[in-house]
Amino acid sequence: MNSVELLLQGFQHALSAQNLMFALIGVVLGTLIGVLPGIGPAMTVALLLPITYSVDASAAFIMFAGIYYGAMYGGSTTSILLNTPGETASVMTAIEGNKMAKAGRAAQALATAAIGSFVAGTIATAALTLAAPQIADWAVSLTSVDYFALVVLALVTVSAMLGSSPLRGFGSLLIGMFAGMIGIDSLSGQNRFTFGVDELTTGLPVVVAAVALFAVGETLHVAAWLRQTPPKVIGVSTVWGLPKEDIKRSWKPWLRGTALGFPIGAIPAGGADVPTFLSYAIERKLAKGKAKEEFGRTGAIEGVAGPEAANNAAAAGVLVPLLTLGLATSSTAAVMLAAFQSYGLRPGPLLFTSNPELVWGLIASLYIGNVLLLVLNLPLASLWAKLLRVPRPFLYGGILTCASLGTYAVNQSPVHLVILLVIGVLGFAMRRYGWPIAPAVVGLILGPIGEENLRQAMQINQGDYSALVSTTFAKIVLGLALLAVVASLVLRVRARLKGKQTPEALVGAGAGN
Amino acid sequence: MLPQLVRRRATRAAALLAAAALLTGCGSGSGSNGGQAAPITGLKIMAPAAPGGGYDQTSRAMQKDLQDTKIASGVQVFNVEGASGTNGLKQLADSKDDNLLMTMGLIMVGGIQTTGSEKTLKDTTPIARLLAESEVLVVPAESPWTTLEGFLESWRQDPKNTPIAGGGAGGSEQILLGLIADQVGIDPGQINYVANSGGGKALEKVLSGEVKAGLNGVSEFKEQIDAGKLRALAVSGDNRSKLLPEVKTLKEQGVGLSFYNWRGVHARPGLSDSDKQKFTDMLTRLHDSEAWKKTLVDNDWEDYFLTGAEYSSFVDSENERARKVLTDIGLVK
Repeated sequence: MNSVELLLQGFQHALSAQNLMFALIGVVLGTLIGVLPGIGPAMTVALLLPITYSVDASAAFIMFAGIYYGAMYGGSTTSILLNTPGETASVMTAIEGNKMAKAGRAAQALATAAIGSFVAGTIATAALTLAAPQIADWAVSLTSVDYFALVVLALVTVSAMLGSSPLRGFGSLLIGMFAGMIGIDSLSGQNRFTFGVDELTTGLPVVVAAVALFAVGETLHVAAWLRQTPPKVIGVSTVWGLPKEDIKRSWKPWLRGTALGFPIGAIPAGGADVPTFLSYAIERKLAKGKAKEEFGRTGAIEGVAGPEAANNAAAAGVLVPLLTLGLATSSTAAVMLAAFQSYGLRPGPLLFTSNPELVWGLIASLYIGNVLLLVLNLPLASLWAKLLRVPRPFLYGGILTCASLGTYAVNQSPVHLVILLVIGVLGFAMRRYGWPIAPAVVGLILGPIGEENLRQAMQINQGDYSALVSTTFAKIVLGLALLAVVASLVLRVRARLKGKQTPEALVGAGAGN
Repeated sequence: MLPQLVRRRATRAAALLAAAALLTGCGSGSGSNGGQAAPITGLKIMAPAAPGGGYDQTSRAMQKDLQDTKIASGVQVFNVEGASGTNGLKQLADSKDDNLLMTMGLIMVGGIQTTGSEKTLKDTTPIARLLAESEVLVVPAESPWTTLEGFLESWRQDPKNTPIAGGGAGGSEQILLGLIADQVGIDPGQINYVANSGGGKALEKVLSGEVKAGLNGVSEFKEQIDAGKLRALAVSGDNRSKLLPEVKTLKEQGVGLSFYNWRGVHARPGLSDSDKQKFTDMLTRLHDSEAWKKTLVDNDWEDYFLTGAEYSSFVDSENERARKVLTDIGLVK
């Protein structure tokens, strides 16, 4: 069967009344939580993960697809109306979008973000449909040497390319990788860093750690620093669509953003952040006349349309390495990978053949979720905006309660609550000192995968380290990793010499994830 | 005045909506438990491994069939991950809970040896053996070996340069590989065994061609064997597997051993005889049910039911066989 037939079957599966309901619940909850200030998609997905445990795997992943895309939509609403991007990938949306909102064009900014997300999401999901099975077929030939190289590339890019300093990025990565080593080593059966705590022998639960770093850390951060500042929300009336003139200005940035977002998201490096920055830079360069004047002043619609499209296209792109290689390249993907694992599913080249119904149901739900979100978001934008007025103490009190209950509910283990609090305090400290969170989460999940492949490569090649560059693929990938480090250093030095602010520096404390 | 009031109410509605969403998020994780009164209630089954693995599947199949047949109700399954199940074993050995059962099997027998676990199966009460899976030895389709004999011949010549992939260290595949090596005159200490944390990963290793051969459960490799990507050289059981009827057993091809990756159920140490009888009866009823027969077929499991003293002595003999071969391999000092 080719992928179109399989996709149609996936639709058949996803369009059943029950599954459609799960998709709807997913997008509503995803948007609802995603819209809350300071909460990015990774945190949304981690917080809502316990809900999906109550249904069977295929329904859970359909709900999951909805949550994933819903959180992306919700995040852009907050960025535009409140200027608090929940993650680095929506920083660019916040810059122009919030300016537009202040200039009285909030409705247009929200509409171009929503429609752009829909266009980009749909095109990129189609690209995923076509590319993923091919890549999975090809990936079967990858050896442990190749996987190790891919993990190195993903880890290097997630920590070096973004954030305020590569040093802090690597520091955060090391924390994550160390945490990933805790537990009984699966290849030799030895205890590592468990300090005599039985619960730790099973390893640090990734979802608990992610919830702690994101939700608890953020809550403590807000409680410590932002308690006194009431949110400055810009009101918006019901949005029904986009005027012709704005569509004319938006459609090219949507397509350009998609063209940047999907491929960059699909290579296991960088996730969604790089393409949104690139898209913003390109739109700003290409701007002429009125748009050029608006950029950075009253807000140019191109600067919202492009990055939003890039962001959503990359969100679909990130699913390519996640589904076909089992590699997570963003913190959201890391949480998704943990979700797969908690269902006993192992994403990788064989997932498409071993669980076709689930994979294609998931992909079909991405299309469906996108349509639901478009329908849901335009008319309901004003309702979402009201959510932002919920006083922060209630909001974050609720989040903390939910994070704790969700953590307890999954394993009924009080020790997990202690882990939640301890790592939450760590997350707070990391925010306080400007350490990015994403490398820690990605390191936590990719570290053990890298280690296993490294050790297997050594076992197969009897301890010969030169084997690590024995395949052409590994050479290319490790070369790219090196290039990424050098490029990020060069760009930083150049930016510093010019005295310019890098886009990363604009990321507020709350967007440290 | 009025618009402000309306807005305030809308804000409150939004707050309520958010709170409701958060609460739903909180409430539902615990899954489905708390059924009505039925013969056996409050039963907990521990799967001493990650979700999706053999113990987990066995536990959840038991849960479903026990409930569907009304033999028990409100059965909970939970996972205690950890090297080859010894974490779960430790929890069971320290437990005072009469309603706690743990799925276990050959992999745990090996795991106890390799991890040097303080607790052993002596610290539990054996209830029953339920099912088994045959293992199958495969080579990539493009490899030169078409017969078991041919493969064994090259393996014997250069065991170090013949990496073979299977599941976790000290698990059933490594034990079987050691037994085969011993049987055909290869020093088990020379085996280049590539451990994987799961059958799926072992499969990838064989498909990518980076290992020369792979060992795993028949059901794990069947699909790729049927698709022509892997060539099966032998199955490990006494009889040929129903899933791969063309593939000869080891015995048929002159390697005198039979081997099953079996799974059973144990309870806490010092369980009263009446409770032990209760669980034995429960599992016997389960075993006799149509639902379980269907479960065995659906999961490609072979019926391998055994209870009482016979089962206890079976565990002892398996333990001895595993200990010897793992010592030869060098995993157990």
